[in-house]
Amino acid sequence: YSFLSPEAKAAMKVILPVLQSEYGFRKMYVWGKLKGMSADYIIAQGVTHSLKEDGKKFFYCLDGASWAQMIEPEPAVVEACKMIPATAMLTGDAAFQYTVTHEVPEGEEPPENPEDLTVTITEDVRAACMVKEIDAAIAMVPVGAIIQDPTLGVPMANSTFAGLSKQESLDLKSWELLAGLSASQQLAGSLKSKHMPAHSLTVLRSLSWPGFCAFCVPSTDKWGYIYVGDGQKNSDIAFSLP
Amino acid sequence: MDSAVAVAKAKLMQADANGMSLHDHLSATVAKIIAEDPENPLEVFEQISLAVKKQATLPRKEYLQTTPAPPPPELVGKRDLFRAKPELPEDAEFPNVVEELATFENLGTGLVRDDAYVLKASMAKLTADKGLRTVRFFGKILGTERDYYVVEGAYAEEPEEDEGEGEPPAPDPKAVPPEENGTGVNKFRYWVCNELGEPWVELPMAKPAAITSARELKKHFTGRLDAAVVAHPPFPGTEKDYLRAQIARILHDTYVAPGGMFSFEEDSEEEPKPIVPTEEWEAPEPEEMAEPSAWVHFYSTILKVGRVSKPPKEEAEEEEEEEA
Repeated sequence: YSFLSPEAKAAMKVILPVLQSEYGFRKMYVWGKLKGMSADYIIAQGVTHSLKEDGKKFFYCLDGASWAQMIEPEPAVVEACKMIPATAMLTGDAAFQYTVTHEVPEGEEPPENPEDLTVTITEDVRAACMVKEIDAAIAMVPVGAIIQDPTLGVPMANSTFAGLSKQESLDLKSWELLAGLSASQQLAGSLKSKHMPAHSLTVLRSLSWPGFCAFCVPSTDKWGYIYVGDGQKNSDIAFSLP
Repeated sequence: MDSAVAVAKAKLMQADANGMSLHDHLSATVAKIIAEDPENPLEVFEQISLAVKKQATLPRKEYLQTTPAPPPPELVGKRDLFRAKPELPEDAEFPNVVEELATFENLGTGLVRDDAYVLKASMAKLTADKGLRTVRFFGKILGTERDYYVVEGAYAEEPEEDEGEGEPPAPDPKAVPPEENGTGVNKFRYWVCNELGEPWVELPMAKPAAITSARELKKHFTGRLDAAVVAHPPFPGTEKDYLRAQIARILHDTYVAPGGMFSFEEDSEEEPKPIVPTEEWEAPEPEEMAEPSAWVHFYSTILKVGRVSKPPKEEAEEEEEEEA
């Protein structure tokens, strides 16, 4: 299925290369889309070396034309984001404010000013946390596509990577998370691979993060991953697996 | 001097557990560099070395394949669709599938552009084969093994039910009876296929027990209609009943029309009154249409028992509550 309108695609084809040279990225990728109630956020990422690097930056926009950089959330903010109830969908308004109240740990006195316990998080920050979470939890690349470069000491795209064969691309052992963990170690049955001959494409869909999809064209160096969804993990997966 | 070289070479040619020796590996790596002639061989030397090591243990089998694989069945089905020119029945209302899907594509959702044409051909075949009067693309439902494409359709006149072999199973007297074909949740029939180009399979009618049970469930579809739906409390039926129940719930919850566009036909004697387009209705401005209040549900809500209309009353019976 398609998730970008032709208008958004046309805008992105023009604007992302400009963004790329402004920031000095070697490459930019479309990360996907976070769906909200009244609007969706298109997300892109820019890298200097490879998708595995620590310093890659994320960008978001609503229409494909006006892009803003996503902030790098601090650990305290990430913790606060986790307290937003999972059922609260993104609204589609980047300035929307979520209010989260910390619980007083047992044995401690509540602070004098009760407002110290509440934290306000704007939606663009929440979206940044979601993107980071999904990227860390499920983003996948083929094994051998990005390897540690011995001279530079950073993960680099492997220029001799000739792609996965059709057989290999369907096997979870040929895929790894960005941090290096093999895809075959994910919850059994939560990743489904499928070959689509009409597009010469193999796709891997995640059921724990519905909307995540890693893909490759077998025997070529074309591969990538994408996420189109509401940003929530499927915590009912134990029940929903057939 | 010679013996030192000989000793060194012998050491390099020592084969390890896999039968590869350092000497073989180095010569293979150098041969690969000469053959492929990369721009900066020193920079990518380690990567080439790794590739050679990997190839030594895993030869690329696909190049060794001699017998050609049979064509994928889904592509054959699609090819046949493009070739066929089905004749639609005269009174059939066939939608402009490509245009409708293009509208969705402009919104950033919907099927891949190519699928629109295959879908049109596929729906035309279904309409011609079954003699349907109306047909509509309902959507695509993803499954773990295979996906479903779903089409909604209606006959001009409900066909006679086949008796089949032997008697159909006697309906459970305690169960809420399903609504007749052509009414309520069963107003339309639904056909599914896993890939466009495969023959369409009709889903069974929606049963109230399946609908009420589906409300409690959250299960992935596998893509196989006869798959068991493993849940607690047990689901009455297999995946095709679960799919049909979900389709009914989705339709009745989400199918909306602009307010005022349709109204009840005042002069009709049928009960409930049929819905017809309102004459002289003008679409409001886009800003007004962006408000949820400008839209209305087209179909009634499904009651708690799993039907749209109340089941026929029997003598001694407890009250049925309407869904709030």
